[in-house]
Amino acid sequence: MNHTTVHTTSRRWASLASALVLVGLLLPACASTSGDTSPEDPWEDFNRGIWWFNMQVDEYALEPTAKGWTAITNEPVRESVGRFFTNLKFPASFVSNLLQAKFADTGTETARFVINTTVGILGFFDPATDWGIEAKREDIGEAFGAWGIGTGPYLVVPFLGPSDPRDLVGVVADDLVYPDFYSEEILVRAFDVVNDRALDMQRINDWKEEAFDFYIFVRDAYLQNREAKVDDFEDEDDDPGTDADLYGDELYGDDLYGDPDDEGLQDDPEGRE
Amino acid sequence: MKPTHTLRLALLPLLALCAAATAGAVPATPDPGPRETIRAATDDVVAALRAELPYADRLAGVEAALTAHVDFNTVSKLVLARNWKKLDEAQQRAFEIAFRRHLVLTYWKNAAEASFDEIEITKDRDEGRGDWTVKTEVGLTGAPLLMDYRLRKFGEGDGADWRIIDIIIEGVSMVSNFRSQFQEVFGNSGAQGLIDAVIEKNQLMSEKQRLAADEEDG
Repeated sequence: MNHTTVHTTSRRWASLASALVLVGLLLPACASTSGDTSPEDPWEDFNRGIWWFNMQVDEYALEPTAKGWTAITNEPVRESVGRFFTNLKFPASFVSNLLQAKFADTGTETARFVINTTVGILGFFDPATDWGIEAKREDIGEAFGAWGIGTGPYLVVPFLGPSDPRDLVGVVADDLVYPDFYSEEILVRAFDVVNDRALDMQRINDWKEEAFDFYIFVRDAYLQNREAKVDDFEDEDDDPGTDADLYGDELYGDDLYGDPDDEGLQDDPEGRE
Repeated sequence: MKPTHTLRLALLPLLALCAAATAGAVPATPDPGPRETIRAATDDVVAALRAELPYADRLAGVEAALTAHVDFNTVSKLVLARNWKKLDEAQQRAFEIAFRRHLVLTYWKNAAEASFDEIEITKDRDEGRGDWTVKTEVGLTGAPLLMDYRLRKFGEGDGADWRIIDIIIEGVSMVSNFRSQFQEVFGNSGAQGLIDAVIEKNQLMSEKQRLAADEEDG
């Protein structure tokens, strides 16, 4: 038993080390890519390759398994299982809140963990929310973000999905404080993923079918949602320049027609009046 | 042609549509603030969603309610950004109509997922440049859905009007999300290809929603 624990723990440190090495190898590559991709996704070709692979995994393994799981369970059971796994992620949330000096939220998360693990029977139920103690969930990547560490370029990770160098390190750090399931570790993780896929079955399948470009849909949603989470959905500190880019009428208005230096005019002969 | 004229010309069909959609529903106060606009918009949309009518009529009701409060012309321009001027006027009009329908269908889908029982306006914030953000929380049990609206003031004095120019769901701006996807589609298949793609997705979504709504009604 003790031997297995040591083994698992050292394996986790090894994954952290490999994530850091991977990020170290990838970051310099950023400088050498061509400029015709979007600025937040300089590795788009590589990412789309991994994305394609992940879509195959989803189509042939994850979705069918999740459908099987859906067939033998009802929604309350799947929601309970989801709550159980969320409860297990308490240590990462605790560490992240602490790292951001959010002491009140650290206390809230601790209270939730204690209540839900005991009264809520190992986290299968969520009495804490019913009692008005609402979740203040954070992960370690969010703490990195709160310290001002940038995400780096968008990165699609095999099996894991949308990420970025900062949050990939965050995910592996989350993992260091995740409870140990010894030799069943992979099975437990897979179960969590399958259950999540089952819970979101309709939504994900709709997105896949209805998006104009599912890869870009997910990339944009992931990057925006991640940034909002780091700011706790309060973007008062945001650089107003970001907003000006998104909502400025110079993008389609007077400047675009009037300024010959504008890049928009160069590939459009009709733009010259 | 001067740009301001182009802008006005592009606005004309929208104004006509708005007038048609809101005939007889003139707002009581001349200059409601952003919060009041969101309160009115969400009330109108929820009423349209809950109407005891077949799917197509309810959808038309939601479209009319949103058209009264969303500036679809500005939204269309923001979403296409630099590509907007590459569409001729007929294409701009066709895109605007198709994309308005697309946003209505997207809104419907989110409304069907989240229970629109309770919408709480939590905060609002001046964004500068005449824009304002109103934050709302939908469904108050457990984790509420965070829906923010960005509004822009059109006109001055008594004729001033706050209109929605973006909806931000869980931190994800619809303008940004569609913009990045449309850039890709536009680059691959051009203006007409993009318009056709929007129309095609609309048919797919409305067909699915109609089936789901029929099922619910029994």
